[in-house]
Amino acid sequence: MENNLEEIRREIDGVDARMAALFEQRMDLVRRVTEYKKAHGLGISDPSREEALVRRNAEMVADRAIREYYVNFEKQVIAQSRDWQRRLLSGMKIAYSGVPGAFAYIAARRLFPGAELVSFPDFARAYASCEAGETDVVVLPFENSFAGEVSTVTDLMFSGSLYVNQVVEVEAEQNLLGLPGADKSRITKVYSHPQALSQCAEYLQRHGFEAKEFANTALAAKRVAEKQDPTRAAIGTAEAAELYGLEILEARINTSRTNTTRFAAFSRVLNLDTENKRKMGKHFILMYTVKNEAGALAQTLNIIGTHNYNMYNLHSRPMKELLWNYYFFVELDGDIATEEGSSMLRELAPLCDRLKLVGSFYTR
Amino acid sequence: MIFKRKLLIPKEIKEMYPISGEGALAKRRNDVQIAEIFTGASDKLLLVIGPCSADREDAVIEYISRLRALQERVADKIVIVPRIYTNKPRTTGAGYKGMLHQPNPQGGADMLRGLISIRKLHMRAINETGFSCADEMLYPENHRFLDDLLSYVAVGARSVEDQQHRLTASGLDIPVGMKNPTGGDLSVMMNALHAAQSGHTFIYRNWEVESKGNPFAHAILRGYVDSHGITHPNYHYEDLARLCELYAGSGIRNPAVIVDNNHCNSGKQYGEQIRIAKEVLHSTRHNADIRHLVKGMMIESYLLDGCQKPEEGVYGRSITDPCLGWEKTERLVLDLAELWV
Repeated sequence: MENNLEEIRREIDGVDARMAALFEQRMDLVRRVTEYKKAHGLGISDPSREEALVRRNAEMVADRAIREYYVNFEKQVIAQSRDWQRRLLSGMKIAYSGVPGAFAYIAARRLFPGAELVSFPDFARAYASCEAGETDVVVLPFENSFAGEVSTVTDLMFSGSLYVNQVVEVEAEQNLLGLPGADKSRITKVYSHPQALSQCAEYLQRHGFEAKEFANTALAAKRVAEKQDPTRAAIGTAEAAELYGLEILEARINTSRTNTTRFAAFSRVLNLDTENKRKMGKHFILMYTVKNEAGALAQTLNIIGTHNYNMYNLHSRPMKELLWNYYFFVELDGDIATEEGSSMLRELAPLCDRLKLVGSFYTR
Repeated sequence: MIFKRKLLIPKEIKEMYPISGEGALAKRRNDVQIAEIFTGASDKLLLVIGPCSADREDAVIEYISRLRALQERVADKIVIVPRIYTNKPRTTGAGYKGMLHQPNPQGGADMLRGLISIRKLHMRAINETGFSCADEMLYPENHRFLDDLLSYVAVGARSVEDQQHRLTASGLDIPVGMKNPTGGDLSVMMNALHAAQSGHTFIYRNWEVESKGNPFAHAILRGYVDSHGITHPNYHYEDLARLCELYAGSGIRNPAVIVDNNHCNSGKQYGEQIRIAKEVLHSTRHNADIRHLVKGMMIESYLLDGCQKPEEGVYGRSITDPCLGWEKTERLVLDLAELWV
């Protein structure tokens, strides 16, 4: 009997030894994934993928009683590898525009936990820092579900050299922030970013508040805190209130209930991986100019249509350097890294004066 | 008529799928080789061979790649021009109208995608195999989309009486084969050859254009249907001798005939093409005039024997008229190389 117990223990030792080697191997593979993501400016952690992974792996455990222990074990393994990725990414520098607490900060933090976030006073300088190689990635807002495109960023996409490889959505809850104990009825002036102000325009009008534009919401909150004038308030996030010691005078004052901003992570290389993420759609962005003649835009749309790509979004922007000339921004549903996609690009090229594939990314 | 959308011009589609430098050289070489057959400078046999309709890019490219290897084996006797027929005339207008109309044979009409698809297919053919191919000139205006890629075009039995086809043929710098009409009247075909070999001024793609006449416009005998709906062949010795007579004293330059082995000559019994081909060669051995007149043949052939309905979707089997499969085709071409003297 004793002999037998010894034997079983020896076998457990053997299993442990094999598990240690496998764990090391797994962590090494995670390192390789992280290096790839780093090079392509991709963020870590995809919760939907992790959940699916645990569920799929659990099915490999035949004994149902053991399975629930396995689920916990696997979750631990994933948590450890996320920590590991965070450490590996810690050398990475992420540019954003605004101050801590702004939406851009939240988006960058969510995409690149553990990385160093570097703040810039405006979009153009943040973008330029990544182009120059001072930062690895720049995270900028490019579309708001309520106010539409962020035109400065659209222009940077067109004129700049960076690519969009990842997009994250941050849902905005706009709150009225004031000094602690301030009386809402005495507020006269409200500070915020123009987009936040437009999202809350109805509320501001109803209360007769005067709006004053700021470069971003967090800066507006900071200003209210510095001024110490109880008739001033800011529109911003709960994070900003906490960061600058303000109080939420009224929560959720934005008109549209689902107010979401899409942030793009830009980097210097275009990532066209063909990895198939379940439950994720793929999108890509094209920007182009056409000859200034009748039907020129329609011809490009016909080519897109003939390849069965659904157009998610199309808008035009003036080209600053050429009076009354416009470029087009098109976001499309589908994968560009396919035979169909490369045929489409090839066929669009002669119809466009300039044509640029700005990015390709997964979207929910 | 509803004007749905303005299509692209040939220049734009050519820029999307341009011929390579090497492809352009290959076309020039092929054109010279083919012209020499029509002038009589070369006595090789011209084989215009391939599927009845080019239904899908992958299967057609595979087929043509096989032809390339076969061409190398018979190079001293035979010049192969693969047929890539991208538009099909339909007797009643119903059914599959070719890649130009239906780039996806199971789908509906998409003329923009169709124009791009036929250009892409012909471009791949020359860039990847060095073959500048043959197509039917069903819509003369569309020739400009392919003019730098083709080495041969045919004017079909239903189009041969049409003025615009004849005038366009007169302006092309590649051989144009003009078929006898479905009713079999050879004078209609001879008139078409006269017209195509003369110069004209006419309207083409909204331009006033001038043609010099095409000295390589020639006859194609494809059999016919009589007033009772009965199919008759016209590839026999007597038919060829009669065509020699029609050519004699007609003033038509470079007298030539290509025998279409399928259609009414085979009664669409695709297997008969083998016997018909050999019989034509036999006729050339008995009469020096016929030997000089017969320049080549048209054979309908694909990867697999026979045909299918478009919705069946078998790779490499014709979705229009039945074709000879690859094994029989290869055997036939090797036999013809042996028999052609």
